[in-house]
Amino acid sequence: MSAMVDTPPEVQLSPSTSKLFRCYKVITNMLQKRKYAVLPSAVSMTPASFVSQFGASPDRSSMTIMVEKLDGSGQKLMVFFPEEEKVGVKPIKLYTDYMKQSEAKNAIMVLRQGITPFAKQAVAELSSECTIEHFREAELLIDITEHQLVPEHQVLTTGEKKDLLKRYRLKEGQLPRIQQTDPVARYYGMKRGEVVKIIRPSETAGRYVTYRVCM
Amino acid sequence: MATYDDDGSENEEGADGGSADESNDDGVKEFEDSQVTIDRRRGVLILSAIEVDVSTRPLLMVGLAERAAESVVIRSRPSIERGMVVEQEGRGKCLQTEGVNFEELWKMSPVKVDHTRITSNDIWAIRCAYGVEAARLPIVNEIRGVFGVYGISVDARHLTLIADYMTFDGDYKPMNRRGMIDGSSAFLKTSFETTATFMTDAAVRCEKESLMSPSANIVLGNPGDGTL
Repeated sequence: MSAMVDTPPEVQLSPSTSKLFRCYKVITNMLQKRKYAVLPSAVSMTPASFVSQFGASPDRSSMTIMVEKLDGSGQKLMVFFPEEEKVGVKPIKLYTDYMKQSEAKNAIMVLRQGITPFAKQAVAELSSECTIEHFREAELLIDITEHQLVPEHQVLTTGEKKDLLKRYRLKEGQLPRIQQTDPVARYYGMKRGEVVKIIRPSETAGRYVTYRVCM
Repeated sequence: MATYDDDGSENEEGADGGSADESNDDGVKEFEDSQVTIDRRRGVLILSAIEVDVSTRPLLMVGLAERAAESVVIRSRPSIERGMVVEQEGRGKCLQTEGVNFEELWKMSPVKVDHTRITSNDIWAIRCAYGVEAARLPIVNEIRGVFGVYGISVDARHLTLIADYMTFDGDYKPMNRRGMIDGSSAFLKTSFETTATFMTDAAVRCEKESLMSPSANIVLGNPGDGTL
């Protein structure tokens, strides 16, 4: 199923730290692709600089990231790394307080194992005030958008979406769909009704542009 | 002594059972759980020495070792039955597995494995791991592979059209009469397959035919109408 490459080994991290480091890299990548301003030091993070910043066995609470959207709208997003194996309601209350303090409307939780059903419900109830997405660590070990098979995705703004529908005289329902639970849609944090532009390589046309609406 | 290499995965199911071969042969002391120790730090499984009374009967170690190796799980990955390293044309050295579990593969170090080139013939697994768009191309490749065996070449446009249809919903739906079951045009469905079934279904549900699809128009002998 996979191809092997021979390259020299990296700086030795303990298994759990190495996992955390890989998640951190993928998260920074994700934030960049979602057009948030990410610190250059986070982008160019190596295992060595990761250890020097967070220690050999990092305290997850110290790894919280806060970023602002690049488009000047001032939208903020926070990334939390909960300590718990299974995240319950309590830490979520804590995080929402943090978010209120720093006026962030969006958050991502990086879960070690999972989330309890109650916590899931709590997140859903909060959805009118703030959006909390959650990913499991296991999902963030690699960046799925870097895979050969995954073409370039660009999430359209509301204006761009309107233009698109007008240009092709389409109704939203006539576009191909992408599901909200789709890994790529989750990667970009797409909400219902948002449209993503997909630029895929094509055998016959060289490049083929298509759109999918999130449902 | 058996070693398991420790690449950090936590659900090492092996090595903890210590269920080494409980040999019934006379003269071989049975293993007990306490006789297997695991050195987590060095990542090594240590079996204590077996005491054998040579006078009872000769003992062939190879057979015993093979039996022990068969029953001891050193490391397992859920839903992956087997794995082997093969040389693939144009791709180099590859790990081929029987069974699909992307999350387990992702645990492997990116230094050892090129994660950007993992593929599978399980389209749904790809859809779940990498999204609909990633599932589109493997559909084309798999269909092409089937035709390729018989030396039939099909234009890429046909295949991509099929793949586009199959992934239209963001899901993975079959391109046959079951895939079109939710479609709104009864005549379109009847003109494809199982005419009577679709007709009775439409009649039972009191469906209306808006004649928007070319197929439905052709059924009624209106060429040129419809959306085309």
